[in-house]
Amino acid sequence: MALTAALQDGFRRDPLTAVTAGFILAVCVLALIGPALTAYDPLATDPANALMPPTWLRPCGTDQVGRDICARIVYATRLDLFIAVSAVVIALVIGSLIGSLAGFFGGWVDRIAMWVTDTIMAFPLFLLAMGIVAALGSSVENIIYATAIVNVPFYARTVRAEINQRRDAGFVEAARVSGNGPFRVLAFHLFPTTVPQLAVQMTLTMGWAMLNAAALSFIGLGIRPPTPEWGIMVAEGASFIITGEWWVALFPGLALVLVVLSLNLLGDGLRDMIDPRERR
Amino acid sequence: MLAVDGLTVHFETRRGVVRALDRVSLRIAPGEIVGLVGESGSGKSVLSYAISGLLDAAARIVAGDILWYGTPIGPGREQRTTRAAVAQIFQNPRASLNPIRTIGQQLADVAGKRRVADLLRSVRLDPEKARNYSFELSGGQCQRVGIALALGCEPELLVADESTTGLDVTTEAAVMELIGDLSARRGMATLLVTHNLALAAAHCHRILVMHAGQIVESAPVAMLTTAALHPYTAQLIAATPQHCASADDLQVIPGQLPDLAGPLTPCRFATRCQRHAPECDEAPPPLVAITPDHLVACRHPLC
Amino acid sequence: MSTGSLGGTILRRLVLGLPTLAGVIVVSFILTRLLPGDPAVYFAGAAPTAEAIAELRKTLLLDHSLWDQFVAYLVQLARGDLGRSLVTGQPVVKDLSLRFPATLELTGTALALALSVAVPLGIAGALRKGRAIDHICRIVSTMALSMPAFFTGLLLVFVFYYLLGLAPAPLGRVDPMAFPLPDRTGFILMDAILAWDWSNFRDGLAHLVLPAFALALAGIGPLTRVTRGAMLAVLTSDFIRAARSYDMPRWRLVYVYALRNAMLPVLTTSGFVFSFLISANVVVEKVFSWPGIGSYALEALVASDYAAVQGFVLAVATLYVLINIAIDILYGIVDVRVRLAG
Repeated sequence: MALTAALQDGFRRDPLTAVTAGFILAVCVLALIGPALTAYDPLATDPANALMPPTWLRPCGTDQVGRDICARIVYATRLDLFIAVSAVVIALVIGSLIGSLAGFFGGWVDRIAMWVTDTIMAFPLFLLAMGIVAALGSSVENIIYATAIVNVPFYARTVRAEINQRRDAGFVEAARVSGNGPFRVLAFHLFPTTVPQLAVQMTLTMGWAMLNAAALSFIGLGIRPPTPEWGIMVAEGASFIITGEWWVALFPGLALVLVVLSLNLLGDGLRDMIDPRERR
Repeated sequence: MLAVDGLTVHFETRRGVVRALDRVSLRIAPGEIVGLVGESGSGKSVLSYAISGLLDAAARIVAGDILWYGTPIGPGREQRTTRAAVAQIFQNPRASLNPIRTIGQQLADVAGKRRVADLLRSVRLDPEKARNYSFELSGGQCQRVGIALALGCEPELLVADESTTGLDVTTEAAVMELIGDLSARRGMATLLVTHNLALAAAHCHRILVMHAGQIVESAPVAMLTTAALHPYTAQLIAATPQHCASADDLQVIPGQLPDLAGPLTPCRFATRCQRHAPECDEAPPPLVAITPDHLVACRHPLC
Repeated sequence: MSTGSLGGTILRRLVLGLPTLAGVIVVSFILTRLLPGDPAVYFAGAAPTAEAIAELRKTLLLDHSLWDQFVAYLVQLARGDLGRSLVTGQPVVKDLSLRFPATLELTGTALALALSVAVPLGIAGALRKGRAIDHICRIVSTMALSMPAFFTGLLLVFVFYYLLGLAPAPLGRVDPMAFPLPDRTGFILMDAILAWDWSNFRDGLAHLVLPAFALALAGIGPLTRVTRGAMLAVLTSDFIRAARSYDMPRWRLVYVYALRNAMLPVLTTSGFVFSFLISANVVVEKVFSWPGIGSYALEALVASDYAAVQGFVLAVATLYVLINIAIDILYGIVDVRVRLAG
């Protein structure tokens, strides 16, 4: 298929992107099967062994109630990935819907859609997410909804711009003339052309969604302890930084940074691949 | 004054190597007006940028030299040790001006404050216009500003790259007349790059014809229009309305320009040529002088 | 270039910003009326007496029509009365006037820091594309984008406070043992200068450095990228090529011609970055125990302190509108076309 061939070609030319793609894949695998492989129970407390520095047996050490940090990080991978992916997918679906309709039909549909997205964007997005979670209550679903809502304007605008750009193109006219109703033209002919651009934006916003969810948990509005999640783990470890037990906060934070960094690099690499104006 | 010898330029792109220019050679004497004619994509702009030293970073000079009064000059204008007095005017006049600076300020940046009024007058613009921005001027006026800016550098060679393409016929005539007049008064040579053969024929002493990165013919205007030797030139002439009695006589040149990134025949016109013979594919045709000022690169010229 | 037109532009932008502000006021009004329970109770503060509640009911015209209530609400706002906070028991306006300068001092310093690092780095990366400085530029911006502000803050505390002992403990804006400063502007550094109090100035600065840097890093990510991208785009544009053909000296080409045009997208991104920094403030204030509006909002949200939340929303929305107006004006100064088009 043309897409896989293009991807392979792109990866060959840009090994860094290939490496980051591989890393992300590895993280996903870890999220899926990791919990089955960990030696320690992430929720098992062991006060006698609290705040142990990293050793070969326990590469990340233990936290203030003796839980193994490595195991918690592995379990948290699943949760954080799930939140980020769900939020992005929901935002993508709703945003694409709004953006497609706005970009294709224009007029008052466009005006209303833009008014909604502008209202959301008028406020600092993280604060908005904070407000939503505070109002709805702390739970995984609510974090996902809050993160999704603040990401919708971004996707809506991207899709709207792409559809708008191609609205009067020849192939659209051709599709219309061959008897397709406007919704069919939009769904099956116009929208697929926006997919490459959307794929790039998806990887980029997934990183941001992950940071968002972690930050919400860090300030106490998100996931509640003892559920392992990178944000809370850093929050729990924060008070131990000034007493020197650095591993409690560092390892979960490092895990978060590495995954987000890979997502950003992958997004950049994909963008370079599909941007035809790039010259070496 | 200016000599280009066997210049070969390649571009590195994602699609591969684009062989934009192939063994291009030409001479321009002081005060001459030379036309460079060819289709879009024939490499005319690449050649003009090479002469002006404005090539992209992705461009590589693979072979050949550009010589200014015998001294080789490099592809990057800023790196040239000998400053070649070459100035250029561009295809899109408005886009060539800084949108957020008045034209008076731009002229002052190039030539100093005191010469601004004189330069504007020499391109027949009201010196009051110095306070305007480019978006307040018409296309023709912007092009005159472009000419004024180029003149501000006191060039000996003016490269006019499709400088009237975006303008209407009346404005085009006015701009061409201005260039010709300035050329004559300052003894300035001009390289007129255009796809419009009729325009070149009307204003130039000599014309070079380019196809797919190769110079195929070079001759004084009169000889070119009456006795073209290269098949491509002949077809170009046949395709211009001025030479035909009616629209039905207009001939379309068959085929398209070859893809400069893909495999290329030694004579790049071979696939479109009706005089193509097996020996045309053996080696690239050299530019030979049939008469001292008429050169052609073809193994089967029209004679 | 008359100042008259500049003043006119400012006025026009202020007027254009009013609908957004009006929208926020309306939305916050509706929200407080939608909440279950008696709005008077929420706005009366902690442990209100029955008389206080009755008094407030009369002021807010809660027994009248919704429209009358809205008018009463507007009157309250005009008088600068945003109710009392549940958590602090103080009038919200007083709380905000104490907390706002703390956040502004932090965010302002962070934005200045971010710009002074990101813009030169982005320019250098664009000018020497593909060379070492460009790689550094891209690595720095990507890393900065990937690191959450809370993690950066904690790392900085660990390295500079715990390991190196250079920075003071992350316990707020000043050393709790120091002589208190007369509070004139609310900005520690400004007040210290005004009082010629150099030890307090040094102390305030020492406390400001780490959180400002953590916050600045969050801004460096997008700003570096935009600067580099904008410079690259401008450097390949037609008018730059033309300027090169006129043998313009390099410094003028880069700084007067290229940079001024490249600044336009950077300006618009600065608005977005400022809003992003306000958000990131919340986590940085938590890490460094900074008494700003971020932590105020957080406490208010957790305690369902509606008066405080509403006050916070209005304050941030107003700030946002003002910042956008400032950016529009700056944009108009740089790009004449926008100014003349109004």
